[in-house]
Amino acid sequence: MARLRPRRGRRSLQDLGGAARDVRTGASGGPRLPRYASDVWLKRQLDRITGADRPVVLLGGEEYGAPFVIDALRERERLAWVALPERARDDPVAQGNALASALDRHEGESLLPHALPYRAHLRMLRQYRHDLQPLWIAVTGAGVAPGFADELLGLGEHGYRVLLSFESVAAPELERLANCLVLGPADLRVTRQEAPLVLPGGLDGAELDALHRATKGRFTELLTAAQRVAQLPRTPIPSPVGPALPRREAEAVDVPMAVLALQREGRLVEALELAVRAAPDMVEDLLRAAGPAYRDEGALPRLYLLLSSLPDPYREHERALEWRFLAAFATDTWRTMAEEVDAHLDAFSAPELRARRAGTLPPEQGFPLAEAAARSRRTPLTLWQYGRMHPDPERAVDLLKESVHAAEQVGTPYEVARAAGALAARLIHLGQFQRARSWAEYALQVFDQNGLRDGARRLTLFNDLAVARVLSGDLAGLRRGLEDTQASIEGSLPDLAAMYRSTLAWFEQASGRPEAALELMRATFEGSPRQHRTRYAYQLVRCLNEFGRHEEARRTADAAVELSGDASAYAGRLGLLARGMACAVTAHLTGDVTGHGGAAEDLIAVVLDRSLAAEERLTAALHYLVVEEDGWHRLPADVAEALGALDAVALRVLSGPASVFQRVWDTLAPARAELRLEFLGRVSCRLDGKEIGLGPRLAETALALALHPDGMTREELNAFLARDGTAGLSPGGMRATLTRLRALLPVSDAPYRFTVAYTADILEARRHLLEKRVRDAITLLKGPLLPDSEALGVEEQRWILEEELRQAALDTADPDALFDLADRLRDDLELWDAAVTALPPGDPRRALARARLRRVREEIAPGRNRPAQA
Amino acid sequence: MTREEALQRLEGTWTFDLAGDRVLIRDPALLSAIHAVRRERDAQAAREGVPMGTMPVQGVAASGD
Repeated sequence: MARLRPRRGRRSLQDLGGAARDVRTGASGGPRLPRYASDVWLKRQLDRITGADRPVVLLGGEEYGAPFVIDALRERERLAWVALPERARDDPVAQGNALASALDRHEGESLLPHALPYRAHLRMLRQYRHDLQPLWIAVTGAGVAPGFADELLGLGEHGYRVLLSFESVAAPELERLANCLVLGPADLRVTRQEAPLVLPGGLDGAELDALHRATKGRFTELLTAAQRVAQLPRTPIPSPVGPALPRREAEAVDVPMAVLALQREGRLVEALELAVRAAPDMVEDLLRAAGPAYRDEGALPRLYLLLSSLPDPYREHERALEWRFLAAFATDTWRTMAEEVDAHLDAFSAPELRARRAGTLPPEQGFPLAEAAARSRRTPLTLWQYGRMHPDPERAVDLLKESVHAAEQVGTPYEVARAAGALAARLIHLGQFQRARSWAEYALQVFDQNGLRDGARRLTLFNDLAVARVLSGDLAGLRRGLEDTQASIEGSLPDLAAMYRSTLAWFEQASGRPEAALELMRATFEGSPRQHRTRYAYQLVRCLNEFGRHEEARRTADAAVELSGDASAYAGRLGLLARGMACAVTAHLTGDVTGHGGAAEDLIAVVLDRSLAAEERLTAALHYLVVEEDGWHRLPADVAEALGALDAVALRVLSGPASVFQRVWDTLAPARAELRLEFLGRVSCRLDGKEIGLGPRLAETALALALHPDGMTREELNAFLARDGTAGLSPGGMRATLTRLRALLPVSDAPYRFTVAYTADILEARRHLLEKRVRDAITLLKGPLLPDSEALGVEEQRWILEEELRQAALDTADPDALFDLADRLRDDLELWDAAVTALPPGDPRRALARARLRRVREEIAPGRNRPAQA
Repeated sequence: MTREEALQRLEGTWTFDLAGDRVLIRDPALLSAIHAVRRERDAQAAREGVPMGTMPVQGVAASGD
């Protein structure tokens, strides 16, 4: 009979040894787990479970042996084990954390973010299904979160195997229960015939009968009772994080001892909970480390409950008050505490509490408080708040740098990431995108390398990094992260999802996919509450202008102005921006000079408003220059300077169609080439600023000429254009093609070549590769070379270019370049292998790359990655 | 939020079970850590001449710092 073989590196049921005495003392050795159990009763359960073609629900939980079943199942199958703690009840974030931890343990590194509601994780699991499956997801304690459990069952429709274990023997009320195989007490009970084989030898028939009757065949109880009678060590109960003693064998210990031990083990969330409940005098000191742990886990709502449950005087102590206030802020109930906090601030200097209070006030009231806090004591927190709120941009940048430095010296990695992230955001606001990018990258590195878990903060950091990267023209490695994140948080984190859609729209605009950008911005605008619509209106107008939908752009802008009527001054300005953009483009195209004035005034008002973000002011300035050709002298120096320094990609993102903006762009960066061609991912051709439409055959011909500056003979051109297995064009066909091309572009007689200066994206990409600028080359790769073409010359060049990029990425070992290219080329083993090596620990893409690598290897050599089986 | 409201909402969500003024522990690794803490405390008490079981476990930080 086959035996289940434990996998290396994981504590298996066999490894647990069944030695309660030894487990308690931590000593190794002792009796092994009874093999008889796995040979008889477990096999019966496993055969039913693995043979089922639907999700499985176990009733009765630990008493009926569910942990043993799951532990044995993970010896057979790839399985992530989710243990739901009691504190996850009614807490979607804690439920998400439990799921994320299970996947992290299974993958061996961080895959899913923590501190996000579980629906974000379920969406990610659906997205990553091809890389992660085959995979079982087993949940113990499912009764803690029936809603979560029910939605998890839905993963069964996406190829995952799901097993839920409920402690109760009563069937849970789940919508999807009817589609499950339900194994209740009658199925899980050890039969009288099995009992002699399940239990240790040496018990006589009468003893067996008595035990079986007393325990009603409940596996765990029967096993423990039999071991007690036989005076054998107890078999520990398996769990995803290690063995546990049987319930009746739990040891009663002093609470302060347990709190200290939990603290020492780094289990700060549990330590604080226990202290709050039974050792409140330990809370104030414990909060120093445990408060950040709760924040990191996204558990501030629970911290608020815990600290509110403290008896007097412990809840009034300063650190308890500060964390209670912060937790109340996270739950939007801080106003009920404001009076209590202000009374404390009247009596004590309390710099950190003062800094936190500052953040809840409007800037004009909050800034003096933040300043007083920093003057009282310069800590990472007080400096961060002071810098964040400082109205002088340069001073703000200095203070935030000081906060980073202070956090590095005396603070925590979280404080370093928080200060560096705030600095990046401030620099983006100022239009210093390259500098912002450096700080955002640093913040993210600190976050990932230190295993920080506050998922919402990481999403904000990554978004800021993406904005800085797009606006400095570096798109390498961004698409997957932006797309996956946006898709995963839709429906569960609406504000963050809108922010990601907006950033993704810019990315799509920069990548030459304006249709996708328009779709994203339309969804964002229409899906936002009224107060937020103006924030996105100008981006939607920009997308509509790209397609010449001027009427819709105008309607959107008018709506934005109207909706911003009673909102903030900021919303009002953004309404003006949207209207100015719509009017400027329409006026330019129609030559309607009467429309210029209003648009120009709207736009210059935005340009001059220094409280607005750089991307808003720069967008306004670019549109202003469309209607006011000589308007440079009205632009403030900082805007004029930022425009001059703007990357070409960013310039296009913040402008509009080339037919309207080419003149402005040429003013900023005089064009050298008369003919501009794009063949990567899409076809674009502009001659002296005018768009020329090229059909597929003419695009192939233009590509051939672009690749041969010295010209091509008719035979060479024909060979380039021929399809596999065909003789190519007839002389008449070739002549007609060239005639049609000459009607559009300047082409010489044979040898054929362009007779004007020209640029082409494929040539630029190769130049970047020659100069070892792989990221720039990848940024130009908006898609395959003429993706629909089957011309032999095109197919050859497509393959050569991909290979050139591939080699260059492998040579540089740049993680973004490798991941981006591996993702585009899908199943390239070498690229995925290199990506896994290059990506730093903690970067969620690394777990994904590892999963993809495993799948690709599995496809090449089936069975290589499966759990070992005898 | 009052203390009573908070306690009511926390009902049924505690990680550990209590037995009187003690806590029930099932995790062998945690029990090992607890025994280690106890041994250290007893050793310290012996060094300082304090009778076993009377050593304070932990000082409490002053309020208002």
